Amino acid sequence: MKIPSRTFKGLAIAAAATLALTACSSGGNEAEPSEGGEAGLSLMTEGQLTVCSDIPYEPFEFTDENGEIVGFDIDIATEIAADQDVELSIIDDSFEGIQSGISLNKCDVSISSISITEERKGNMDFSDPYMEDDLVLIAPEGTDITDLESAQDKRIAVQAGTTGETFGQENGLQTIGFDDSGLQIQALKAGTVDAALGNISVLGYAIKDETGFVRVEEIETGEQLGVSIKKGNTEMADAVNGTLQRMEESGELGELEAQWFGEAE
Amino acid sequence: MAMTARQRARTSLYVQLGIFVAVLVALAITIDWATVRTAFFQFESLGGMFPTVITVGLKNTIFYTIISFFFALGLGLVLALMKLASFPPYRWIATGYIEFFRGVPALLVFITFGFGVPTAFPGTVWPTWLVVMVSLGLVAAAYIAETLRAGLQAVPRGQYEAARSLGMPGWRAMVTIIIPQAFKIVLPPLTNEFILVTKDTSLIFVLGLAVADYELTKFGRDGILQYGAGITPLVLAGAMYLIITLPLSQLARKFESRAAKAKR
Repeated sequence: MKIPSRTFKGLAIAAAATLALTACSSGGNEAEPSEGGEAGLSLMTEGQLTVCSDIPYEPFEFTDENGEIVGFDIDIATEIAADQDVELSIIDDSFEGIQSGISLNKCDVSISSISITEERKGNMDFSDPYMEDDLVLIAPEGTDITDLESAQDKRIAVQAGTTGETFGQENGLQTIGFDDSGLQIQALKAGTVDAALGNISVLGYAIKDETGFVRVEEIETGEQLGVSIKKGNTEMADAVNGTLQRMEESGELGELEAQWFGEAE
Repeated sequence: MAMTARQRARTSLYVQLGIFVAVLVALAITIDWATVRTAFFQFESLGGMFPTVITVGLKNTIFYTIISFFFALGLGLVLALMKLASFPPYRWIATGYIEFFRGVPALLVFITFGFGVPTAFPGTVWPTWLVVMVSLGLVAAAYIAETLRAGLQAVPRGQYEAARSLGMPGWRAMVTIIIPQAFKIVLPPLTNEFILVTKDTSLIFVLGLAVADYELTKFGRDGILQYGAGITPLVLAGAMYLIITLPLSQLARKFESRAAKAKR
């Protein structure tokens, strides 16, 4: 089955519009969360926001050359703590604990590149999504691949067993399956494939500092990342969503995304 | 009362058998059979793998094996002759080559050729079969060279001397007298080399494969993600390898017994 790329552009616009609408409609409540913080948001440790994260998972959370924990998720955690005027404390936890919600017995929130899924919603609440982990098609500069349409009959590197591979095969692309993203990117650099298709969080980061590659198309997948919050803790959810809204409106979130995952063309 | 030698041998045999049975029973009791069945033997869910696992997977595995093996055989013969040469640099080169390629994992050779060649010579993209043939062939050649060298040395020296005394030049004696006899001697070990090459084709998944290039292991690995049957797809792939290798072992045994007969 072939889906014309126009459909995806349409979807993307619709999604963007929805996002903008939600942002507008709830914009009025913006001040509330910080008030809540001053009124004393109940925290595991007083004066400290405890965040669970499975480190390392570049570029979301990892230790840099100075031994400091950095990353896209960590930047967001820092902002949430700052809005509440409390210290940030990060606990390195297993992803099993995080995705099962068990971590929320020792942490106020978990921020660890957690995809929002229905199964997980049974064990935890989620904040508004802070990132759309869409698919991206990456090609070397100056090739005739400009979108999905022109990628037909070309060799497209995908990571075996990921949404990228499924999407590519469903759309009649000639997918070349690689075992991990490292080999997938090597193949793109070596030129044994014509382009690569995969999640922005992986491919975008991989080519961020490389020259000679361009993002030729982004494909909406509905895969979204959220902050995990203990079930029923609306106070915390409001606080987190308040910070995310503020960052979204000020453009900070977009800047962070560009900083960690590179910019779209 | 002391046991006779025969009694002792028999007792020891019973003890060995007893230990073996005890281990089997212990395993059979402790293994979680229900889980094992769903994880390894859920063959009824694999309908979707047929017929492509045979028409593409098995076919490609055999194809990759054959081209790599014959590439290796040719190169291995050259190396074996170099190793026996009287000109020292030939021997050094052959020894260096054999030690290197016997010492590095085939997987690394695959990665080097699959990703290194197009990086070093921009624009040259080898088709999968060529990468497989060269990488696997280079590794297998090192093993085959040693086997062939042993075979060449096993041909009685008198054969060479007789050929020379009949007026044959050295190369002619080698090609028409020594090499044919050497091949006959090394047929059983060569068959084993062929089996090793068959199994090593499973490493090519690192190259990244188009659907038409898939071999058995890739089918098995992809099947794990597709059919929700645990690792049963890999068990199926394993069975397919046996379809290739078991007849070959049989063949090797046949060659061996024939060689033994000829010696008598």
